[in-house]
Amino acid sequence: MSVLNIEDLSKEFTVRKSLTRAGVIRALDHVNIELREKEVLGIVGSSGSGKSTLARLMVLLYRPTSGKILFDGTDVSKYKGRKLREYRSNIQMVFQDPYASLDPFHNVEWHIKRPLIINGYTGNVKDKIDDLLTEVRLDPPAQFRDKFPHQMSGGQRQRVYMARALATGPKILIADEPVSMLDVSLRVEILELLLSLRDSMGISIIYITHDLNTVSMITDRIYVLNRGRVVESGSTKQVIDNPVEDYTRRLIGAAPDPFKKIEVD
Amino acid sequence: MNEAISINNLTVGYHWENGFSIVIKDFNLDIPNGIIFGIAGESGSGKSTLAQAIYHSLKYPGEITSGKVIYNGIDLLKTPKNELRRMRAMDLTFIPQAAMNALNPVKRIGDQFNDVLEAHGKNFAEFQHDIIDVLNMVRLGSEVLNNYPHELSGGMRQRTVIAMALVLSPNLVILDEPTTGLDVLVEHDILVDLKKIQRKKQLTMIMITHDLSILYEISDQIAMMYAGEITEYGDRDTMLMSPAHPYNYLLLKSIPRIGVKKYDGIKLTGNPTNFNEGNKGCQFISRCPFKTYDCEINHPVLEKEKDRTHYFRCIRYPEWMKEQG
Repeated sequence: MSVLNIEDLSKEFTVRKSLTRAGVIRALDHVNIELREKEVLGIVGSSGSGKSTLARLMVLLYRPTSGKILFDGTDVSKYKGRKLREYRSNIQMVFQDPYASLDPFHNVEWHIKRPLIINGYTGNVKDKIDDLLTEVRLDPPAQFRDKFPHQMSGGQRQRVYMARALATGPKILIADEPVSMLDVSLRVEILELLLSLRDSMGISIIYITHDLNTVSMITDRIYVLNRGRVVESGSTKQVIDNPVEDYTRRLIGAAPDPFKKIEVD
Repeated sequence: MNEAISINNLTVGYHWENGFSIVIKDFNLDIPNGIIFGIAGESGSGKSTLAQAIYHSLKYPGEITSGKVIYNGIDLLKTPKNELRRMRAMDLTFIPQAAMNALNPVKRIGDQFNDVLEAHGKNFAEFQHDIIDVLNMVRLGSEVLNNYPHELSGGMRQRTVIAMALVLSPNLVILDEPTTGLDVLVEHDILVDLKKIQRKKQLTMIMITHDLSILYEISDQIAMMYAGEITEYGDRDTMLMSPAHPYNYLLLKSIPRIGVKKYDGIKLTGNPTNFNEGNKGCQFISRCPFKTYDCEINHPVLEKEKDRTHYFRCIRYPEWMKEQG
Protein backbone atom coordinates (compact mmCIF):
# COMPACT_ATOMS: atom_id res chain seq x y z
CA MET A 1 0.00 0.00 0.00
CA SER A 2 1.36 3.38 -0.87
CA VAL A 3 0.57 6.46 1.20
CA LEU A 4 2.06 9.09 -1.04
CA ASN A 5 2.49 9.00 -4.77
CA ILE A 6 4.39 11.64 -6.64
CA GLU A 7 3.44 11.42 -10.30
CA ASP A 8 5.31 13.17 -13.06
CA LEU A 9 6.07 16.11 -10.81
CA SER A 10 7.92 19.14 -12.18
CA LYS A 11 8.79 22.43 -10.60
CA GLU A 12 10.14 25.45 -12.40
CA PHE A 13 11.43 28.62 -10.84
CA THR A 14 11.56 31.86 -12.75
CA VAL A 15 14.77 33.77 -12.36
CA ARG A 16 15.23 37.25 -13.65
CA LYS A 17 18.44 37.53 -15.63
CA SER A 18 18.09 41.22 -16.32
CA LEU A 19 15.26 43.75 -16.18
CA THR A 20 13.49 42.38 -19.20
CA ARG A 21 14.74 38.86 -19.63
CA ALA A 22 13.48 36.06 -17.47
CA GLY A 23 14.89 32.57 -17.38
CA VAL A 24 13.48 29.35 -16.08
CA ILE A 25 15.24 26.91 -13.82
CA ARG A 26 13.80 23.44 -13.82
CA ALA A 27 14.41 22.27 -10.25
CA LEU A 28 12.46 19.04 -10.64
CA ASP A 29 11.95 17.29 -13.91
CA HIS A 30 9.16 14.71 -14.19
CA VAL A 31 9.83 12.99 -10.91
CA ASN A 32 7.97 9.85 -9.85
CA ILE A 33 8.21 8.69 -6.28
CA GLU A 34 6.20 6.22 -4.28
CA LEU A 35 6.14 6.14 -0.49
CA ARG A 36 4.84 2.91 0.99
CA GLU A 37 3.18 2.45 4.32
CA LYS A 38 5.49 2.23 7.37
CA GLU A 39 8.55 2.61 5.23
CA VAL A 40 11.67 4.66 5.72
CA LEU A 41 12.43 6.11 2.33
CA GLY A 42 15.69 7.83 1.52
CA ILE A 43 16.05 10.66 -0.98
CA VAL A 44 19.69 11.23 -1.77
CA GLY A 45 21.48 13.85 -3.81
CA SER A 46 24.15 16.50 -3.66
CA SER A 47 23.29 20.18 -3.33
CA GLY A 48 21.23 21.50 -6.20
CA SER A 49 19.77 18.09 -6.95
CA GLY A 50 16.29 19.26 -6.00
CA LYS A 51 15.85 17.17 -2.88
CA SER A 52 14.76 20.06 -0.66
CA THR A 53 12.47 21.43 -3.38
CA LEU A 54 10.85 18.03 -3.47
CA ALA A 55 10.29 18.09 0.29
CA ARG A 56 8.76 21.53 0.11
CA LEU A 57 6.47 20.44 -2.67
CA MET A 58 5.31 17.44 -0.69
CA VAL A 59 4.17 19.62 2.22
CA LEU A 60 2.84 22.16 -0.32
CA LEU A 61 5.10 24.98 0.73
CA TYR A 62 5.64 25.20 -3.04
CA ARG A 63 3.05 24.39 -5.68
CA PRO A 64 4.04 22.09 -8.53
CA THR A 65 4.35 23.44 -12.06
CA SER A 66 2.92 20.19 -13.35
CA GLY A 67 2.24 16.71 -12.06
CA LYS A 68 0.32 15.24 -9.18
CA ILE A 69 0.82 14.59 -5.50
CA LEU A 70 -1.48 11.76 -4.50
CA PHE A 71 -2.12 11.27 -0.80
CA ASP A 72 -4.15 8.13 -0.09
CA GLY A 73 -5.12 8.16 -3.76
CA THR A 74 -6.39 11.76 -4.07
CA ASP A 75 -4.54 14.63 -5.67
CA VAL A 76 -3.78 17.26 -3.05
CA SER A 77 -1.64 19.61 -5.11
CA LYS A 78 -4.34 22.28 -5.44
CA TYR A 79 -5.64 22.13 -1.86
CA LYS A 80 -6.34 25.39 -0.08
CA GLY A 81 -7.78 26.54 3.25
CA ARG A 82 -9.27 23.91 5.53
CA LYS A 83 -8.39 21.03 3.22
CA LEU A 84 -4.78 22.17 3.07
CA ARG A 85 -4.60 22.37 6.85
CA GLU A 86 -6.06 18.90 7.11
CA TYR A 87 -3.55 17.56 4.63
CA ARG A 88 -0.67 19.20 6.42
CA SER A 89 -1.66 17.64 9.71
CA ASN A 90 -1.05 14.33 7.95
CA ILE A 91 2.33 15.23 6.57
CA GLN A 92 4.86 16.99 8.77
CA MET A 93 8.40 18.08 8.29
CA VAL A 94 11.56 18.29 10.41
CA PHE A 95 14.19 20.71 9.22
CA GLN A 96 17.96 20.70 9.19
CA ASP A 97 18.81 23.37 11.69
CA PRO A 98 17.37 22.85 15.19
CA TYR A 99 18.92 26.16 16.22
CA ALA A 100 16.77 28.05 13.71
CA SER A 101 13.53 26.09 13.68
CA LEU A 102 12.51 26.79 17.28
CA ASP A 103 11.43 30.22 18.46
CA PRO A 104 13.96 31.45 21.04
CA PHE A 105 11.29 33.44 22.91
CA HIS A 106 9.06 30.49 23.69
CA ASN A 107 9.44 27.37 25.76
CA VAL A 108 9.00 23.75 24.80
CA GLU A 109 5.39 23.55 25.95
CA TRP A 110 4.36 26.47 23.70
CA HIS A 111 5.96 24.89 20.66
CA ILE A 112 4.08 21.65 21.05
CA LYS A 113 0.81 23.22 22.19
CA ARG A 114 0.38 25.37 19.09
CA PRO A 115 -0.16 22.63 16.51
CA LEU A 116 -2.52 20.90 18.94
CA ILE A 117 -4.68 23.99 19.32
CA ILE A 118 -4.57 24.96 15.66
CA ASN A 119 -5.74 21.51 14.69
CA GLY A 120 -8.47 21.52 17.32
CA TYR A 121 -7.17 18.86 19.67
CA THR A 122 -9.99 17.94 22.05
CA GLY A 123 -8.24 15.83 24.70
CA ASN A 124 -6.13 16.96 27.62
CA VAL A 125 -3.42 19.13 26.11
CA LYS A 126 -1.02 18.80 29.07
CA ASP A 127 -1.12 15.02 29.01
CA LYS A 128 -0.68 14.97 25.25
CA ILE A 129 2.42 17.16 25.53
CA ASP A 130 3.88 14.82 28.13
CA ASP A 131 3.12 11.81 25.93
CA LEU A 132 4.81 13.41 22.96
CA LEU A 133 7.89 14.38 24.95
CA THR A 134 8.17 10.84 26.26
CA GLU A 135 7.76 9.51 22.73
CA VAL A 136 10.83 11.47 21.58
CA ARG A 137 12.75 10.37 24.71
CA LEU A 138 12.75 13.71 26.49
CA ASP A 139 12.18 11.92 29.74
CA PRO A 140 10.94 12.93 32.28
CA PRO A 141 8.76 15.49 30.44
CA ALA A 142 8.46 17.73 33.50
CA GLN A 143 12.15 18.47 33.21
CA PHE A 144 11.84 19.76 29.65
CA ARG A 145 8.37 21.35 29.43
CA ASP A 146 9.46 24.77 30.64
CA LYS A 147 12.86 24.90 28.98
CA PHE A 148 13.75 27.43 26.34
CA PRO A 149 15.65 26.47 23.19
CA HIS A 150 18.93 27.97 24.39
CA GLN A 151 18.86 25.76 27.47
CA MET A 152 19.00 22.60 25.40
CA SER A 153 21.57 20.86 23.25
CA GLY A 154 21.16 20.49 19.48
CA GLY A 155 19.98 16.91 19.86
CA GLN A 156 17.37 17.87 22.43
CA ARG A 157 16.08 20.72 20.27
CA GLN A 158 15.73 18.40 17.33
CA ARG A 159 13.69 16.07 19.57
CA VAL A 160 11.44 18.95 20.62
CA TYR A 161 10.91 19.79 16.98
CA MET A 162 10.05 16.18 16.27
CA ALA A 163 7.53 16.16 19.12
CA ARG A 164 6.00 19.28 17.58
CA ALA A 165 5.78 17.58 14.22
CA LEU A 166 4.20 14.48 15.74
CA ALA A 167 1.59 16.53 17.63
CA THR A 168 -0.78 16.59 14.68
CA GLY A 169 -0.70 12.81 14.42
CA PRO A 170 0.84 12.69 10.96
CA LYS A 171 0.99 9.64 8.72
CA ILE A 172 4.14 10.89 7.04
CA LEU A 173 7.19 12.57 8.53
CA ILE A 174 9.66 14.26 6.22
CA ALA A 175 13.10 14.74 7.73
CA ASP A 176 15.31 17.07 5.69
CA GLU A 177 18.93 16.56 6.83
CA PRO A 178 17.83 16.21 10.46
CA VAL A 179 21.24 15.24 11.82
CA SER A 180 23.75 17.15 9.71
CA MET A 181 24.02 19.97 12.25
CA LEU A 182 24.45 17.66 15.23
CA ASP A 183 27.53 16.28 16.89
CA VAL A 184 28.58 12.84 15.79
CA SER A 185 27.74 11.26 19.10
CA LEU A 186 24.15 12.52 18.97
CA ARG A 187 23.39 11.53 15.39
CA VAL A 188 22.86 7.85 15.89
CA GLU A 189 20.39 8.47 18.70
CA ILE A 190 18.22 10.74 16.54
CA LEU A 191 18.30 8.26 13.67
CA GLU A 192 17.35 5.41 15.96
CA LEU A 193 14.53 7.57 17.26
CA LEU A 194 13.22 7.96 13.71
CA LEU A 195 13.21 4.19 13.33
CA SER A 196 11.45 3.65 16.63
CA LEU A 197 8.76 6.23 15.74
CA ARG A 198 8.05 4.29 12.59
CA ASP A 199 7.57 1.15 14.68
CA SER A 200 5.62 2.65 17.58
CA MET A 201 3.40 5.10 15.69
CA GLY A 202 3.25 3.36 12.36
CA ILE A 203 4.23 6.41 10.35
CA SER A 204 6.11 6.50 7.07
CA ILE A 205 9.32 8.49 7.00
CA ILE A 206 11.04 10.28 4.16
CA TYR A 207 14.66 10.88 5.02
CA ILE A 208 16.36 13.46 2.81
CA THR A 209 20.13 13.76 2.87
CA HIS A 210 23.40 13.88 0.99
CA ASP A 211 24.97 11.48 3.46
CA LEU A 212 24.98 7.92 2.21
CA ASN A 213 26.33 6.64 5.51
CA THR A 214 23.21 7.45 7.47
CA VAL A 215 20.96 6.51 4.57
CA SER A 216 22.41 3.04 4.49
CA MET A 217 21.79 2.76 8.19
CA ILE A 218 18.08 3.51 8.39
CA THR A 219 16.32 3.43 5.03
CA ASP A 220 14.54 0.57 3.28
CA ARG A 221 14.50 2.04 -0.22
CA ILE A 222 16.18 5.03 -1.80
CA TYR A 223 15.81 7.37 -4.73
CA VAL A 224 18.92 9.10 -6.01
CA LEU A 225 18.28 12.59 -7.39
CA ASN A 226 20.61 14.47 -9.71
CA ARG A 227 19.77 17.77 -11.33
CA GLY A 228 16.09 17.37 -10.66
CA ARG A 229 15.75 13.88 -12.05
CA VAL A 230 15.55 10.51 -10.36
CA VAL A 231 18.60 8.74 -11.71
CA GLU A 232 18.43 5.58 -9.69
CA SER A 233 16.09 3.89 -7.25
CA GLY A 234 15.55 0.60 -5.51
CA SER A 235 16.16 -1.13 -2.22
CA THR A 236 18.93 0.60 -0.29
CA LYS A 237 21.12 -2.46 -0.17
CA GLN A 238 20.79 -3.11 -3.86
CA VAL A 239 21.56 0.47 -4.88
CA ILE A 240 24.55 0.80 -2.56
CA ASP A 241 26.01 -2.63 -3.33
CA ASN A 242 25.48 -2.38 -7.07
CA PRO A 243 25.17 1.24 -8.13
CA VAL A 244 24.38 1.57 -11.82
CA GLU A 245 24.80 5.29 -12.31
CA ASP A 246 28.17 6.98 -12.22
CA TYR A 247 26.67 9.74 -10.06
CA THR A 248 25.62 7.24 -7.39
CA ARG A 249 29.09 5.73 -7.43
CA ARG A 250 30.64 9.14 -6.89
CA LEU A 251 28.33 9.80 -3.95
CA ILE A 252 29.31 6.48 -2.40
CA GLY A 253 33.00 7.17 -3.00
CA ALA A 254 32.77 10.57 -1.35
CA ALA A 255 30.88 9.37 1.74
CA PRO A 256 33.16 10.08 4.69
CA ASP A 257 34.47 7.00 6.44
CA PRO A 258 37.20 7.00 9.09
CA PHE A 259 38.51 3.70 7.78
CA LYS A 260 39.18 5.21 4.37
CA LYS A 261 42.40 7.10 3.91
CA ILE A 262 42.96 9.78 1.31
CA GLU A 263 46.15 8.80 -0.50
CA VAL A 264 47.97 11.18 -2.78
CA ASP A 265 51.17 10.50 -4.66
CA MET B 1 63.62 22.06 14.23
CA ASN B 2 61.31 19.16 14.74
CA GLU B 3 58.17 20.89 15.89
CA ALA B 4 56.19 23.23 13.71
CA ILE B 5 54.50 24.66 16.73
CA SER B 6 54.53 23.80 20.36
CA ILE B 7 51.92 24.78 22.91
CA ASN B 8 52.95 24.89 26.55
CA ASN B 9 50.65 25.17 29.56
CA LEU B 10 48.09 27.18 27.65
CA THR B 11 45.10 28.35 29.67
CA VAL B 12 42.25 30.17 27.96
CA GLY B 13 38.91 31.34 29.23
CA TYR B 14 35.96 33.61 28.58
CA HIS B 15 34.63 36.50 30.61
CA TRP B 16 30.90 36.47 31.12
CA GLU B 17 28.39 38.20 33.33
CA ASN B 18 29.14 36.07 36.38
CA GLY B 19 32.89 35.90 36.14
CA PHE B 20 35.49 34.08 34.14
CA SER B 21 35.20 30.54 32.84
CA ILE B 22 38.22 28.54 31.88
CA VAL B 23 37.64 26.52 28.74
CA ILE B 24 41.16 25.27 28.03
CA LYS B 25 43.32 24.41 30.97
CA ASP B 26 47.03 23.70 31.07
CA PHE B 27 47.11 22.56 27.48
CA ASN B 28 50.30 21.02 26.11
CA LEU B 29 50.86 19.84 22.58
CA ASP B 30 53.77 19.60 20.16
CA ILE B 31 52.85 19.47 16.52
CA PRO B 32 55.55 17.97 14.29
CA ASN B 33 56.68 19.59 11.08
CA GLY B 34 55.35 18.62 7.68
CA ILE B 35 52.26 16.63 8.60
CA ILE B 36 48.52 17.04 8.71
CA PHE B 37 47.58 17.20 12.36
CA GLY B 38 43.89 16.74 13.06
CA ILE B 39 42.14 18.02 16.16
CA ALA B 40 38.71 16.55 16.80
CA GLY B 41 36.13 17.62 19.29
CA GLU B 42 32.41 18.01 19.73
CA SER B 43 30.77 21.41 19.99
CA GLY B 44 31.94 23.16 23.12
CA SER B 45 35.10 21.11 23.48
CA GLY B 46 37.22 24.22 22.99
CA LYS B 47 38.68 23.35 19.62
CA SER B 48 37.91 26.65 17.90
CA THR B 49 39.09 28.56 20.95
CA LEU B 50 42.33 26.63 20.74
CA ALA B 51 42.79 27.56 17.09
CA GLN B 52 42.23 31.23 17.83
CA ALA B 53 44.58 31.08 20.80
CA ILE B 54 47.35 29.51 18.71
CA TYR B 55 46.96 32.23 16.11
CA HIS B 56 46.68 34.80 18.88
CA SER B 57 43.51 36.17 17.32
CA LEU B 58 41.24 35.54 20.28
CA LYS B 59 39.28 38.66 21.17
CA TYR B 60 37.47 39.81 24.27
CA PRO B 61 35.51 38.22 26.03
CA GLY B 62 38.07 35.50 25.39
CA GLU B 63 41.38 35.80 27.18
CA ILE B 64 44.58 33.80 27.28
CA THR B 65 45.64 33.83 30.90
CA SER B 66 48.87 31.89 30.71
CA GLY B 67 51.02 29.69 28.55
CA LYS B 68 53.24 29.82 25.52
CA VAL B 69 52.79 29.11 21.84
CA ILE B 70 56.26 28.59 20.42
CA TYR B 71 56.67 28.95 16.68
CA ASN B 72 60.15 28.98 15.20
CA GLY B 73 61.67 29.63 18.59
CA ILE B 74 59.53 32.66 19.41
CA ASP B 75 56.48 32.89 21.63
CA LEU B 76 53.56 34.08 19.51
CA LEU B 77 51.68 35.23 22.58
CA LYS B 78 54.49 37.68 23.43
CA THR B 79 55.14 38.85 19.89
CA PRO B 80 54.26 42.51 19.29
CA LYS B 81 51.17 43.20 17.19
CA ASN B 82 52.90 44.61 14.13
CA GLU B 83 55.33 41.74 14.02
CA LEU B 84 52.40 39.29 14.27
CA ARG B 85 50.70 41.09 11.39
CA ARG B 86 53.81 40.60 9.30
CA MET B 87 54.08 36.92 10.18
CA ARG B 88 50.46 36.14 9.44
CA ALA B 89 49.96 34.89 5.89
CA MET B 90 53.76 34.87 5.42
CA ASP B 91 54.74 32.31 8.04
CA LEU B 92 51.55 30.99 9.45
CA THR B 93 47.96 31.38 8.43
CA PHE B 94 44.53 30.67 9.80
CA ILE B 95 41.43 29.87 7.80
CA PRO B 96 38.59 30.32 10.29
CA GLN B 97 35.21 28.68 10.22
CA ALA B 98 32.95 29.89 7.41
CA ALA B 99 35.81 31.90 5.94
CA MET B 100 34.21 31.70 2.53
CA ASN B 101 31.50 34.06 3.76
CA ALA B 102 34.12 36.60 4.73
CA LEU B 103 35.00 37.49 1.14
CA ASN B 104 34.19 41.08 0.36
CA PRO B 105 30.98 40.97 -1.69
CA VAL B 106 31.65 44.19 -3.61
CA LYS B 107 35.22 43.50 -4.65
CA ARG B 108 36.52 41.25 -7.39
CA ILE B 109 38.54 38.24 -6.24
CA GLY B 110 41.63 39.63 -7.94
CA ASP B 111 41.39 42.86 -5.94
CA GLN B 112 41.04 40.86 -2.76
CA PHE B 113 44.21 38.96 -3.61
CA ASN B 114 45.79 42.36 -4.10
CA ASP B 115 44.67 43.42 -0.60
CA VAL B 116 46.47 40.46 0.92
CA LEU B 117 49.65 41.24 -1.01
CA GLU B 118 49.49 44.96 -0.36
CA ALA B 119 49.15 44.42 3.37
CA HIS B 120 52.51 42.71 3.20
CA GLY B 121 54.11 45.27 0.94
CA LYS B 122 54.09 43.05 -2.12
CA ASN B 123 53.26 43.84 -5.66
CA PHE B 124 50.41 42.15 -7.52
CA ALA B 125 52.22 41.99 -10.86
CA GLU B 126 55.22 40.38 -9.25
CA PHE B 127 53.08 37.70 -7.67
CA GLN B 128 50.79 37.06 -10.64
CA HIS B 129 52.53 33.80 -11.33
CA ASP B 130 52.16 32.63 -7.71
CA ILE B 131 48.49 33.55 -7.66
CA ILE B 132 47.74 31.49 -10.74
CA ASP B 133 49.82 28.72 -9.24
CA VAL B 134 47.83 28.53 -6.00
CA LEU B 135 44.54 28.88 -7.86
CA ASN B 136 45.50 25.92 -10.01
CA MET B 137 46.38 23.94 -6.92
CA VAL B 138 42.81 24.32 -5.72
CA ARG B 139 41.61 23.63 -9.27
CA LEU B 140 40.43 27.11 -10.13
CA GLY B 141 41.28 28.99 -13.29
CA SER B 142 42.68 32.50 -13.37
CA GLU B 143 39.30 33.76 -14.65
CA VAL B 144 37.94 33.78 -11.08
CA LEU B 145 40.12 36.82 -10.46
CA ASN B 146 37.59 38.82 -12.42
CA ASN B 147 34.60 37.40 -10.59
CA TYR B 148 32.70 38.75 -7.63
CA PRO B 149 32.14 36.31 -4.75
CA HIS B 150 28.41 35.94 -5.51
CA GLU B 151 29.25 34.62 -8.96
CA LEU B 152 31.04 31.65 -7.41
CA SER B 153 29.57 28.56 -5.79
CA GLY B 154 30.20 27.74 -2.13
CA GLY B 155 32.90 25.25 -3.02
CA MET B 156 34.64 27.70 -5.32
CA ARG B 157 34.55 30.40 -2.65
CA GLN B 158 36.08 28.04 -0.13
CA ARG B 159 38.78 27.15 -2.67
CA THR B 160 39.42 30.84 -3.26
CA VAL B 161 39.89 31.45 0.45
CA ILE B 162 42.31 28.54 0.69
CA ALA B 163 44.26 29.88 -2.30
CA MET B 164 44.36 33.34 -0.76
CA ALA B 165 45.75 31.94 2.47
CA LEU B 166 48.50 30.11 0.61
CA VAL B 167 49.63 32.79 -1.80
CA LEU B 168 52.51 34.02 0.35
CA SER B 169 53.68 30.43 1.01
CA PRO B 170 53.24 30.12 4.76
CA ASN B 171 54.55 26.90 6.23
CA LEU B 172 51.88 26.46 8.87
CA VAL B 173 48.20 26.48 7.98
CA ILE B 174 45.45 26.23 10.57
CA LEU B 175 42.06 25.26 9.17
CA ASP B 176 38.93 25.43 11.30
CA GLU B 177 36.10 23.35 9.84
CA PRO B 178 37.25 23.90 6.25
CA THR B 179 34.51 21.86 4.63
CA THR B 180 31.52 22.36 6.89
CA GLY B 181 28.45 23.41 4.97
CA LEU B 182 29.74 22.11 1.66
CA ASP B 183 28.26 19.38 -0.42
CA VAL B 184 29.65 15.82 0.02
CA LEU B 185 31.16 15.67 -3.44
CA VAL B 186 32.76 19.10 -3.10
CA GLU B 187 33.95 18.30 0.41
CA HIS B 188 35.72 15.19 -0.76
CA ASP B 189 37.43 16.99 -3.64
CA ILE B 190 38.64 19.80 -1.38
CA LEU B 191 40.05 17.33 1.13
CA VAL B 192 41.97 15.55 -1.61
CA ASP B 193 43.29 18.90 -2.87
CA LEU B 194 44.33 19.98 0.63
CA LYS B 195 46.30 16.81 1.13
CA LYS B 196 47.95 17.18 -2.27
CA ILE B 197 48.98 20.74 -1.48
CA GLN B 198 50.29 19.76 1.93
CA ARG B 199 52.41 16.96 0.49
CA LYS B 200 53.67 19.04 -2.42
CA LYS B 201 54.62 22.10 -0.40
CA GLN B 202 55.67 20.15 2.69
CA LEU B 203 53.52 22.36 4.88
CA THR B 204 52.25 21.69 8.34
CA MET B 205 48.48 21.69 8.44
CA ILE B 206 46.42 21.78 11.59
CA MET B 207 42.90 20.76 10.79
CA ILE B 208 40.17 21.27 13.34
CA THR B 209 36.76 19.71 12.90
CA HIS B 210 33.94 17.88 14.62
CA ASP B 211 33.66 15.48 11.72
CA LEU B 212 35.70 12.51 12.82
CA SER B 213 35.29 10.67 9.53
CA ILE B 214 36.98 13.27 7.38
CA LEU B 215 39.63 13.83 10.02
CA TYR B 216 40.61 10.19 9.96
CA GLU B 217 40.58 10.26 6.17
CA ILE B 218 43.05 13.10 5.84
CA SER B 219 45.25 13.32 8.97
CA ASP B 220 48.62 11.81 9.79
CA GLN B 221 48.24 12.42 13.50
CA ILE B 222 45.09 13.05 15.47
CA ALA B 223 44.27 14.59 18.83
CA MET B 224 40.88 14.26 20.43
CA MET B 225 39.61 17.03 22.68
CA TYR B 226 36.98 16.74 25.33
CA ALA B 227 35.93 19.55 27.67
CA GLY B 228 39.04 21.62 26.98
CA GLU B 229 41.69 18.97 27.29
CA ILE B 230 43.26 16.32 25.13
CA THR B 231 41.92 12.89 25.89
CA GLU B 232 44.08 11.03 23.44
CA TYR B 233 46.49 11.67 20.61
CA GLY B 234 48.74 9.72 18.35
CA ASP B 235 49.33 8.42 14.86
CA ARG B 236 46.21 8.11 12.76
CA ASP B 237 46.48 4.34 12.33
CA THR B 238 47.10 3.72 16.01
CA MET B 239 44.19 5.93 17.01
CA LEU B 240 41.94 4.11 14.58
CA MET B 241 43.00 0.54 15.21
CA SER B 242 43.74 0.60 18.93
CA PRO B 243 41.99 3.47 20.68
CA ALA B 244 43.13 3.84 24.26
CA HIS B 245 40.47 6.23 25.50
CA PRO B 246 36.83 5.12 25.67
CA TYR B 247 35.73 8.40 24.06
CA ASN B 248 37.62 7.72 20.85
CA TYR B 249 36.53 4.09 20.89
CA LEU B 250 32.85 4.92 21.39
CA LEU B 251 32.84 7.76 18.85
CA LEU B 252 34.35 5.50 16.22
CA LYS B 253 31.66 2.96 16.97
CA SER B 254 28.86 5.47 16.66
CA ILE B 255 29.82 6.88 13.26
CA PRO B 256 27.30 5.73 10.67
CA ARG B 257 29.11 3.94 7.88
CA ILE B 258 27.94 2.35 4.68
CA GLY B 259 27.29 -1.30 5.25
CA VAL B 260 27.09 -1.06 9.03
CA LYS B 261 23.44 -1.53 9.80
CA LYS B 262 23.03 -1.62 13.55
CA TYR B 263 25.14 -0.71 16.51
CA ASP B 264 25.30 -3.48 19.02
CA GLY B 265 26.87 -3.44 22.41
CA ILE B 266 28.03 -0.38 24.28
CA LYS B 267 27.53 2.99 22.65
CA LEU B 268 28.09 6.63 23.41
CA THR B 269 25.14 8.21 25.17
CA GLY B 270 24.46 11.49 26.91
CA ASN B 271 25.41 15.01 25.93
CA PRO B 272 28.84 16.59 25.61
CA THR B 273 30.19 17.70 28.97
CA ASN B 274 30.48 21.42 29.58
CA PHE B 275 33.42 23.11 31.16
CA ASN B 276 33.36 23.89 34.83
CA GLU B 277 31.00 21.13 35.70
CA GLY B 278 33.30 20.79 38.63
CA ASN B 279 34.50 17.26 38.01
CA LYS B 280 37.42 16.56 40.22
CA GLY B 281 38.09 13.37 38.38
CA CYS B 282 37.87 12.47 34.72
CA GLN B 283 35.95 14.92 32.50
CA PHE B 284 34.41 12.12 30.50
CA ILE B 285 33.02 10.35 33.54
CA SER B 286 29.33 11.11 32.99
CA ARG B 287 29.34 9.36 29.63
CA CYS B 288 31.82 6.59 30.28
CA PRO B 289 30.46 3.07 30.63
CA PHE B 290 33.77 1.82 32.01
CA LYS B 291 34.12 4.20 34.94
CA THR B 292 35.10 3.10 38.42
CA TYR B 293 35.35 4.85 41.75
CA ASP B 294 38.96 5.86 41.02
CA CYS B 295 37.82 7.83 37.98
CA GLU B 296 35.74 10.07 40.21
CA ILE B 297 38.54 11.17 42.48
CA ASN B 298 41.64 11.28 40.31
CA HIS B 299 42.04 13.58 37.39
CA PRO B 300 43.89 11.41 34.87
CA VAL B 301 47.14 12.65 33.36
CA LEU B 302 48.23 12.24 29.78
CA GLU B 303 50.26 9.02 29.66
CA LYS B 304 52.40 7.69 26.86
CA GLU B 305 52.21 4.20 25.52
CA LYS B 306 55.67 2.82 25.11
CA ASP B 307 57.31 2.52 21.69
CA ARG B 308 54.54 4.50 20.04
CA THR B 309 53.39 8.05 19.46
CA HIS B 310 50.26 7.47 21.45
CA TYR B 311 49.17 9.46 24.47
CA PHE B 312 45.99 8.92 26.43
CA ARG B 313 44.25 10.30 29.49
CA CYS B 314 42.57 7.28 31.05
CA ILE B 315 43.50 5.42 34.18
CA ARG B 316 41.48 2.40 33.15
CA TYR B 317 43.42 1.64 29.98
CA PRO B 318 43.94 -1.15 29.05
CA GLU B 319 41.54 -2.76 31.56
CA TRP B 320 38.41 -1.19 30.07
CA MET B 321 39.00 -2.97 26.80
CA LYS B 322 38.22 -6.28 28.43
CA GLU B 323 34.80 -4.97 29.45
CA GLN B 324 33.67 -3.79 26.05
CA GLY B 325 31.73 -7.03 25.58
